[in-house]
Formats: sequence, structure tokens, C-alpha cells
Amino acid sequence: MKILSRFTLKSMRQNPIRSLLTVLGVILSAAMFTAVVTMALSFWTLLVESHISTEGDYFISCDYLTQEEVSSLSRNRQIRKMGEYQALGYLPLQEDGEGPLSTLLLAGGDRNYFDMLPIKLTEGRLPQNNRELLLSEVLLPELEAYGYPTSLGGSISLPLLRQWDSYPTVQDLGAVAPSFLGEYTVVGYMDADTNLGNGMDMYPMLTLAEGEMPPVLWSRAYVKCAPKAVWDLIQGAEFHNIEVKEAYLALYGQSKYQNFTTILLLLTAVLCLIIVVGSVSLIYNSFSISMGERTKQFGLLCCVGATKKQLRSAVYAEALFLALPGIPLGTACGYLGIRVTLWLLRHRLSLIIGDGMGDVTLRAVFSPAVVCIGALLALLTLLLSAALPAKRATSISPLEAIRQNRDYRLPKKIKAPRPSPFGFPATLAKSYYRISRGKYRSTLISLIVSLLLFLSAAGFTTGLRSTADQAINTQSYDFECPIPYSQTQELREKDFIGASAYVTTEYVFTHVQDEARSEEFLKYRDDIKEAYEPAVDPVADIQVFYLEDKILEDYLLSKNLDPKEYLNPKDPKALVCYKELITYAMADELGIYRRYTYHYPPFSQSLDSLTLWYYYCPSGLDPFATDEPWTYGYESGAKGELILSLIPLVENDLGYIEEAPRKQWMQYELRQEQTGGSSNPVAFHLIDPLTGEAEAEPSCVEEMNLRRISLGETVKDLPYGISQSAKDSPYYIGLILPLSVAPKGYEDLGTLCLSAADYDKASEYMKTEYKDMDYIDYRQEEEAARAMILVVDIFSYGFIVLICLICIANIVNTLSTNVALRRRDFGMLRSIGMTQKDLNLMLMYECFSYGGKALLWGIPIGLFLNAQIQNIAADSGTLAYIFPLEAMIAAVISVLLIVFTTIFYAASKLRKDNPIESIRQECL
Amino acid sequence: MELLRIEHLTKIYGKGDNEVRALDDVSFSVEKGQFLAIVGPSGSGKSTLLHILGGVDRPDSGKVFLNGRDVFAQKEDQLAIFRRRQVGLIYQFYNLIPVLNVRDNLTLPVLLDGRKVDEAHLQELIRTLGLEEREQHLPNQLSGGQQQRVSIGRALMNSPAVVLADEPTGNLDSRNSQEIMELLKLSNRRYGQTLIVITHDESIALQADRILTLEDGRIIRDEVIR
Ligand SMILES: Nc1ncnc2c1ncn2[C@@H]1O[C@H](COP(=O)(O)OP(=O)(O)OP(=O)(O)O)[C@@H](O)[C@H]1O
Ligand SMILES: [Mg+2]
Repeated sequence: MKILSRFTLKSMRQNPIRSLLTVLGVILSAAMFTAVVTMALSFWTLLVESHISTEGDYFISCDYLTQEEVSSLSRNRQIRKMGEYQALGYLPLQEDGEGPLSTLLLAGGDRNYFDMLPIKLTEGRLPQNNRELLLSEVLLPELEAYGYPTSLGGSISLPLLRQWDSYPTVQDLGAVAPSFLGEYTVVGYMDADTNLGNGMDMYPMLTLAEGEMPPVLWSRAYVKCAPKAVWDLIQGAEFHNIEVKEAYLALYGQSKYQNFTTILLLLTAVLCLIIVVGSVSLIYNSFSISMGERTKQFGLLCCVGATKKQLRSAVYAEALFLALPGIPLGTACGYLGIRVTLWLLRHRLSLIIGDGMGDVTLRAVFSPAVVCIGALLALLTLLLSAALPAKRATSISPLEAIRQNRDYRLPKKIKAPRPSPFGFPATLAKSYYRISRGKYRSTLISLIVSLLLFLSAAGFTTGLRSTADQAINTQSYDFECPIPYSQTQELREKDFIGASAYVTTEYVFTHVQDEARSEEFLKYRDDIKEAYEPAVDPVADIQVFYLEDKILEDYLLSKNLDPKEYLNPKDPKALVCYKELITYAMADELGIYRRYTYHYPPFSQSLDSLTLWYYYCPSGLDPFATDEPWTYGYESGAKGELILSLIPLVENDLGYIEEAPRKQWMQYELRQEQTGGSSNPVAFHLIDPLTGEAEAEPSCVEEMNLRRISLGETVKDLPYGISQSAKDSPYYIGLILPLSVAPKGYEDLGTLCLSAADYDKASEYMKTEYKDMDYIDYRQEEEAARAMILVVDIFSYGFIVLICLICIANIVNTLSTNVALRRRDFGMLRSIGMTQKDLNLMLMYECFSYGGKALLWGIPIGLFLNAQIQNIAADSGTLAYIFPLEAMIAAVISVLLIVFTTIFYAASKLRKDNPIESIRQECL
Repeated sequence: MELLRIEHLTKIYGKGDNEVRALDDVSFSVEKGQFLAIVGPSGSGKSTLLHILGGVDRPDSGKVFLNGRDVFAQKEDQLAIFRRRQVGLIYQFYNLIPVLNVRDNLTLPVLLDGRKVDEAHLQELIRTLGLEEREQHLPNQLSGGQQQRVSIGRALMNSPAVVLADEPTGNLDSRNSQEIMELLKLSNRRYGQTLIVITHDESIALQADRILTLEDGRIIRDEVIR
């Protein structure tokens, strides 16, 4: 045994490059295993922490418990931690029985409660005893209004009721007084966003339940137990009002619905499998080469009496020699790699994670068990790779082994290769290829696997990137803030705000026949007939942008248009927005989406005015006598007439509300009595569902106040402040009018579009001052999207680069040994007169046969995978397929480069030998 | 007519204390068509000399002329072409290409030369070598003597000017040995090839026209028998 391990060490030292490559493979695979499992754990931890930070750290909550029930719960052995929340008194706020009524709840939470719930403070601290009070921020104005002082540190006395209206009091209070005065000191305010679960007590006044407490009206228990025990616990409980945190349980794989852990584990397993494939192919090859070289040695050893078992353990000894430095080093590298990467990316990650997930960051979580799993996986991979070659090397008979002094496992019969059209060197290369096909195959597979992985990763990032691309800001402004026009002054004057424009929008429709449409539009409509029926109906939806006059004027001047025509308060011309549409359509059987771009003016040049209709249903037409809900819609009839449909809404089998079948609709044909003027009477003629004819007598006539708008120039560049959707929405046609002609009241329903002069300051200001406003920060969305792309790129390419490194190590290893093993043959060939040129030709041919075959298989399959993965990654196929040209070129070049450099490098070392040297070497 | 001339050949292996003078200022010349036997104790430099003559090894000093042309003055590729056209080398250990069958091993020098195989010549050679049934076999499916015959066939395939054989019968029984010697002599006589054979076997040496004896890298005796 000892002698055998010595042999092993010696042969490893004799091939330093191969040993090094193998150790490198072990390091890489250990590092990747560790990195993948650490990443999975970190990600999982992030989700758990995020849940705790936003929802609280409990699985079950039970409402309206009596004290007996609480104590019976707390005696339950399965429960690990329980927080109790006690309702102590109600505070109804109502003036003299008048006005809106609100009832506040005073409650106490024990220390576990404050621990388990995600209470966010805006000011002050948590209550430390049963005389201190924490108030939800939301309550402050109300309490103040009713004369309860809420200042921090001040005292507050609350006249509380123990029974109030329909509010619950489950505890039998016996003879306790129905009301009491609660005296507290206000010590802190709680953020309005704090999630305490649902219920009427969303915004309680909270004290610490400790020591002497007033009688409890009812209790709520927050329970944490082993995730597995949750359903057990609920089975056994006799309580009602149980709420189970499915989302939290899902993180522990115990949810009844979709378990997140399963997905995470699956993904981890897939990644690990890829690593196993990559590293097994490398390490396996390494071993089989080393075994092959030592077959003769083994045969000799066998002849002198070594048992197969001894030989096999010698192989495993070699595996362990490799594992000794490789696995600890790799594991450490993997963990540190993730740690450093996450640390470097911390700012971008926090952008991606956003506020919605609570106060959490993605950080590398160290867990000895998980790191051990990584190491173990690497060790298993190593042993797996060693097992087969060991078995093979020791299973051939000793004599055969001695006779077979080379690594070729020559077949019994072999046909002479057909002479290659590329000359004799090529034929010779082919012979070699034929003989050691197995070895060639593994090299080839490595090449193909790297190609596939690379192209798949490229697909993944392309897909994600195109999703993220949509979030890239194409607007001309940074913020969009919905405030009334009258209140814009303050914000606009801030020094960190640059340009700004106020825009309000109105949604109307028009009824235009094909003659009024542009030719380009008609062609577009033809192309997409199947995909977008509604958007091409003669009933066209219009979005009217009313843009602040000053901004519009500047724009008009810059475009050499006459402001007088467009800003004329009587009959302003509307700018029409040119369409730049991108549509996606399934292009072929592969399920690949392709992107089509259409550019067209929406209307024909000759159209100079439009009638704008409002979505409106005359009250005189209430069609359905019953209380059934209904809706209405406008469409175009067969003869081009405008039709109003009244559509009953019904519940379908799945319980969703949907439109009733067409035959139940009531339809009216609209006839415009006259055009022009400010009020236009429109007659509604009921259509007979059987004949399809409209009744002669109108059911009603309405003054519809239709607007006739003169059309001006069709513009491609939008004025500042107009959303890009004016151009790229497939549904609406954009018209631009001055704000001064907007319908009454509209000027307060618009949005202020802002560009930041100093973005950081501006975003800070918006965050604090306009917190409650639903403003949009395009710049931030863009940054988050970019950060996402970057992070995805780093992780996917990081993974790919590492796995490709393993594959490349394998390729280098097998190719160079393949060449090195032929040292004697090279010497032979040269000694009988093969020139350097012929040798090079032979090698070149081999390179092409490797590279070409790898590309032949790898590129088509890779492209296919790339397309599929792009589709999956890009939000379920709504985005166009992008041909991965760059990735492909990179792949082709690197494959050829790797193959050529390896083969020629290996051969160049042989070339320096005298032919006889090479021959001798192997003969001895 | 002088075919080969060797001038002051010296080959030194190793350095310093380990220095071995495998050849030490060896000079001689060989006539065209001559059958020369080289004998000498083990380690006397016979193989080294033969390899240098065949152009597969380089001397540290000295020159080899073939047909008046300085062999080692040629470029690497010219040397390779020289080897495949002018020299047939037969090794002590057959050194066949393991992935090629007998036929391809035999025709290797022709194929390398980019020429067409002269089928009649090949068949005759195969017959002479007694390898009729073995044409499609791989080297590891042949006996030692058969492998040796293939390597001889390969050396003769291109009808080289010189055939160099390093103990061609070293591993063979006396019957086989004699057969192979007959083969070589036949070729030597038929094509007027110069034949240089290294041997330990006195009976073989005595068949030669001339015997060269080496010891410690020097020629100690040079006797012409015929
Ligand atoms: N590559 C080498 N490195 C070092 N010394 C060498 C080398 N090749 C040969 N020698 C030495 O050169 C001397 C001559 O060797 P060579 O092979 O020519 O002997 P030989 O006469 O053919 O012997 P044998 O009859 O045993 O084949 C020997 O002493 C040998 O040890
Ligand atoms: Mg010798």
C-alpha cells in the first residue's frame, strides 16, 4: 500500500501540468459548489429577513382569545415562541354623536410581541413599561383634534371603555367597571407602514404588557413553532380566527400552496448538476489519462502480486491527494468570492431590493453546514470521477496491460481510413481520431458543453436585459408628479429642479373611416390583423395631452410652426403624434418572438379635422331593469356607423365577472343630427337584434357636446413633458393641445413632469416631501434596472466563466495529453521523413476536426437553448428574440483559439526533440 | 563508388562528470551496394552512430556526406525529405505506428511523400515479407517477428539508397533471424542498396562484406571480408 501511494505521488509529480490542472478543477468545482449553495442560502436568508422585517416573525396568529386560551396555548410544547397582544380598552372618537365615528384601541404587547412584530419607529422608542405608550403616526392628527395631547414625552389620559358597540370583548369581565381612565406617557411614534396584520386595530396605541395590567378584553397570540409543526398545531387547536402566514411557511417548504424552497432547491440542484457535469468530465479525463499511462505499470504490479483492491485504493489515494489541497482551498474561495462580490455590489443590490422588501440587504451568509455540503459535493464529484478509470485500469489482465504499453485501446478490427482529400496528413489525423475516439469524444463534449453553457447564459442575460431595457428611461424628464397645477409653483422653483412642464390628459375617441387613415397605418393594420383587433377599429382611442402653453409655444417656435394657430383659444390646431410602434409576433415554430417596428402617421395628410367623442352613456338608456351590473362600449358597425353597445356583466363558472355573450347585448346606432357648433344632438336608435336594423325612432336624443378639433402638423419629436407613450402606445393616438383649452377642472388632474438639475437632491426632496404622492421617479427605475442588468450579468457570466474554465482546463488537459502521448509516434513519423509542414498540417486538421465538430453541434443546439432561455427570462415571451451574434462570434473564436493554442503548444514542445529522443523516451 | 562518407563524428551525452562520449572522432566511408556490419560491446555507440547516419539524431561535431551532400547542412524539412527518400531505418524495437494497419505502416514513406503507392511493388514486398494474410492487421495484433518484418518492409518501401538496421534480429529466433537477413540481403543485391546492420550475432556479421568494430565510441577494427 505504501509503495503504491509512493508510486502515485511520483506519477503525479511526473505530470505536473496535469496534476495542477486536476487540482485546479477540484478547486474550481469546490468553489462553485460552495458559491452556489452559499448564494442559495443567502438569497433564502434575504427572503426570510425581508419577511420578518415587513410581516413579522411568526407563522400563526389567533384572534380574540380569552386568557385561559392564551395560557393553554403557552403551555403547548410545540410552540417555540409566543407573543401576546392584549386589547385593554376602546376609545371612541365622536363629537356629540355626530360626524364620522372612529374607534381607537388601546392594547398591550408583551416583550415577545415587540420582538416578533416589525414595528417601525419614526420617533422616540418602544414602551419600556406598562405606563408608556407608543402611538401610530396615523392617529396623531385625530387624537390632537379631540384634545388628546400627543407630544413626545408628554402624558396622555384616555377615557377608555371595556364594552363598546359591536367591538369584541371575549373575556368574561365579571364585575369590572365598564370604563376606566388610562394614564400614559407617550414615548414613541410608529410608522404608518408598520404591518401588524389586518383588522380594525391596524393602528393601535401600544403599551408594554408587563406587571400589573388592567383586565384584558381579548388577546391575540402570535405563534412561532417549528415550521413542520404548524399544521399539526392548527389541527389540534379549538380556536377560531386563526391566520396562517403561508408566505412565510413557503420559505420553509411547509406551505400548502406553492413552496418557494422547492423552486430554490431545484434551481440550486440544476446549477450543481451543471457543475458536476463540468467537473466530472475534467477530473474523469485526468484520471483516465493517468490510469492509461499507468496501465503497464499496474500490469507489472499485478504480475508481482498486487491485488486489484490495492491498485484501486492507490487510485483513490491519488484522488485524496488532489482533494487535500483542492477542496479546502476551493471552498474558501467560493465563500469568499460570493462575499466579496456581494459586498462590491451592495449599493446596486440595495437599489434592486428596494424599499418594498423592508430593511434588508443581500449578504453572504456563512453556515458551516452549507459550506460542508459544498465541500462534500466536490469530494463526491472527485471520487465519482476516479471510480470509473480505476475500475477500468484494474480490470484488464496483467499481460494485456504490459503488452499495451500505450494508452490506445486498440480495437480488434479496424478499417483503413479512406484517403482524405486534404492529403496524407489529414488521413493520418483521421486514423488517430478513429482509434482514440473515446478520448476525443470527451474533449468534444467538454467543448460542446462550454459552448452550450456560454450561449445559454448569453440568452439568459439577453432576456433579462431586454426586460430591464423596458424600464430604461426614454422620457424627456426624470419625475412625474400628480399634483394640481395651482400647487406646482413651489416645487418648480427649487434650485435642484431644472426644466418642468405641466401636462394633463384626457381620454376620448374618434370615429374615422379608412379614407382618413394614412397608408402606412393601413399596411400596419393589415400586418397585425390577428394580434391587435381592437386597436385598429375605426373607433380609435385618442389621448389628448394638454401641455402648458409656454412649453408648447417654445416647442412650436423651435419647429417653425406658428404658435398663433396652435395656441389659438378659439380653435387651436392639435399636434398629432407620429407613431413609432414596436410589436412582437411569434415568428416561427421554435416559439421565438420577433420584433417588428412600425413607423406611421396615424391620419391621412388630407384629414384636417376630427370629431372627439366622449365615453358616455346617456342616462335615458338604462337598459336592464334589474340590478344586474352592466357596462358599455363603442364600436363600428358593418356599414361604418357608430354603435353603442350596452353589455350585461355575468359571473362565469370560475366566479369571475365577464361580459355576457353578444346576443344579450343591446345596441344602438348613433346618428349625429348635425356637425359643428358647440352642442351636438345625437340620436340613439335601438338596433333590432334579429334583423340588425335600427329603429326609425330614436330611443333618446342627447346633447353630446362633441368636439371638433382641427389637426395640425404630425410631429416625430415630442415636446418636453409629453410621455413617450404618445408615440409607442399601440392603443392610443396622441394629440397635443395647449393647457389653456383643457376642459374645466382638468388642469388640476394632470401631472407635473420634472427634470432634475441635481438628481440626488431632487430625489431626496421628493422622497421626503412627496412621500404620499404617487410620483414616478423614472431615473430611479432606470438605475434599478441597470443595476439589475449588471448583477445578472455578473452572476450569470461569473458562473459561466467558472464552468467554462473547468471545461477549458479539461480541453487543454485532454488535447495536450493526446498530443504528448503521441510523442513517440511523432518521433517515428519524423524519423521516416515527415516534414514539419506535414506535421503541422496533420495537427491543423485535427484542430479543425475538433473545433469544427464542436461548433457544428454546439452552435445550433446553443442557439436553440439561447432562444428558449431568452424567452423564459424575458417575461414569458413578450419580448423579441435577439440573435446572439456577438456571443456566437466570441464562442467560435474562443473555441478555435483554445483548440489551436493547446494543440500547437503541446506539439511545439515535442518539436524541439530530436526524433530519436522521442522514440527512446517511450521505449525505455 | 563512395556513397557515404563520415568525417570526425563526435557525440557526447551528458555534462561534466556524467559526460559520455558515445562517439569519439569516428571517420570512415562506405561504398555503394556494400553490406556493412557494425559490431561491438553494449554501450559502444553503435546505435548512436546508426541514428546519426539515418539523420534522426545530430552529431556534436563532424560531418556525414551522402552522395557527396552534407546531410546535416540541410534545413529541418530537407532533412525530413532526405530521410524519407534516401534512408530506410529499421529499429531494434519495431516502432510501428500503432493506429495504422500493416498496409498503411508499410506505405507510410510513400504516402508522406505524397506519391501514389506502386501496388505491384507493395504486393511483391508483402509477399516477400510473408505478410499476405496480415495486411489489415494492427501492429499489436502481430508477433514480434512479423512486426519486425513490417518495419523492414517500411524501410525498403521507398527503395532507399541506404538501409540502416539496428539489431534487426535481436528479438528473434535463429530461423526467423536468418529469414530476415535473407530479405535484407536480397534487397541489397537486387537494388544495389547499401546495407548497414548492427548486430551482436557473429553469424550475421560474417555474412557482411565488411565488419566495423566499435568500442567506447571509437573504431577499433575495420575488416573487409569480401
Ligand atoms: N540519450 C542518452 N543520454 C545519455 N547517454 C546516452 C544516451 N543515449 C546513449 N547514451 C550513452 O551512449 C553510449 C552509447 O550508446 P548506444 O545506444 O549507441 O550503444 P550501443 O552500442 O547501441 O549499445 P547496445 O549494444 O546495448 O545497443 C552508451 O554508453 C549510452 O549509455
Ligand atoms: Mg543499441
